[in-house]
Amino acid sequence: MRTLVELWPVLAGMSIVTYLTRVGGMGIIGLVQTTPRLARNLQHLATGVLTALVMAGVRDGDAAIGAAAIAAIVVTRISGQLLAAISAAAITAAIVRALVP
Amino acid sequence: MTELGKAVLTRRGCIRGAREILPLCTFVFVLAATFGVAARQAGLNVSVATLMSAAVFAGGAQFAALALLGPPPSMLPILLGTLAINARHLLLGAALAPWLLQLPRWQRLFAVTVLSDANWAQAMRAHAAGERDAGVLVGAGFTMWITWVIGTAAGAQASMAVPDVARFGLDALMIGFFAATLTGGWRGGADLPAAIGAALVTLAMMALGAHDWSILIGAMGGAASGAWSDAHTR
Repeated sequence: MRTLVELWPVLAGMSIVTYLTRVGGMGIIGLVQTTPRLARNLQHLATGVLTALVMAGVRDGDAAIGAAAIAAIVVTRISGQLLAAISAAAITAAIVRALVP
Repeated sequence: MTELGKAVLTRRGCIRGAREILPLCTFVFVLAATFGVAARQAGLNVSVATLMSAAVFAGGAQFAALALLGPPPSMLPILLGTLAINARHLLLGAALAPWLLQLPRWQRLFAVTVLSDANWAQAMRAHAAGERDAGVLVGAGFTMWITWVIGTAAGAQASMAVPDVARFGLDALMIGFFAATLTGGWRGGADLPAAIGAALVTLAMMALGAHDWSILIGAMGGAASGAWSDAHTR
């Protein structure tokens, strides 16, 4: 069995690299002056991250995941309720998988 | 709520954030238990698997590292893989910067320790709705972190039969959450170029096999399209 004595450098290295990615983006923006243009571009960045997360998930997933993403979008448009939207996503995925073996 | 525009980090904000992220924690728990089981299969003992989750708190990188643990562990590939998979955090942090940089230094250095996709998306959505308490990010992040650690320990300890996530659609919770957050904050035509750019670049990166970098580069492609469109309209 692999123990901490052997693997602590891996754990330490991974946690340091990960923390640097977590703190780094804020640090980089902190070095430059915030202008209205930068603020707009950061807004586009947020849209880009969310779109990329959804697209990567859909591309990796099966038809049920694609249907779930669409269900979440539709329910959000109709109700504006986040909890309703993610519940609809899970229920849709379960139904699609039950129907399509 | 505090006066608009002034960033704070309070316990009440943490509690709000924790409460709102709870529905997603079912998925976090199951994924963590899956990691715990996989870590045991890779030969890690329960405490190392749990400690890795506590210290790293980044699912994709942890799963990837299991394949490279040797013995002996391939240190450089593990660290480069961790960087590749987690580099998207740089973008999350950048997007939060105008808000978090208003906090005292120790508070913002602390707040990002639990920065992750889901609590980031939740915090961005809250911020757009007028929230200025960074506690929502921290409270949600620590709730996910605790769930992640306990789930890993449970999976590793019991090597328990992880429930059939797919059958109950639990694996769709996360994508549903991101899709709903994107739609909820949608500003119409102003967001369209960034979304199209991000979608195309993400798919292109995945088609090229650069899977680990696809979200980072895809999101940057989106931001660039948005900026380009701003410069070329009106």
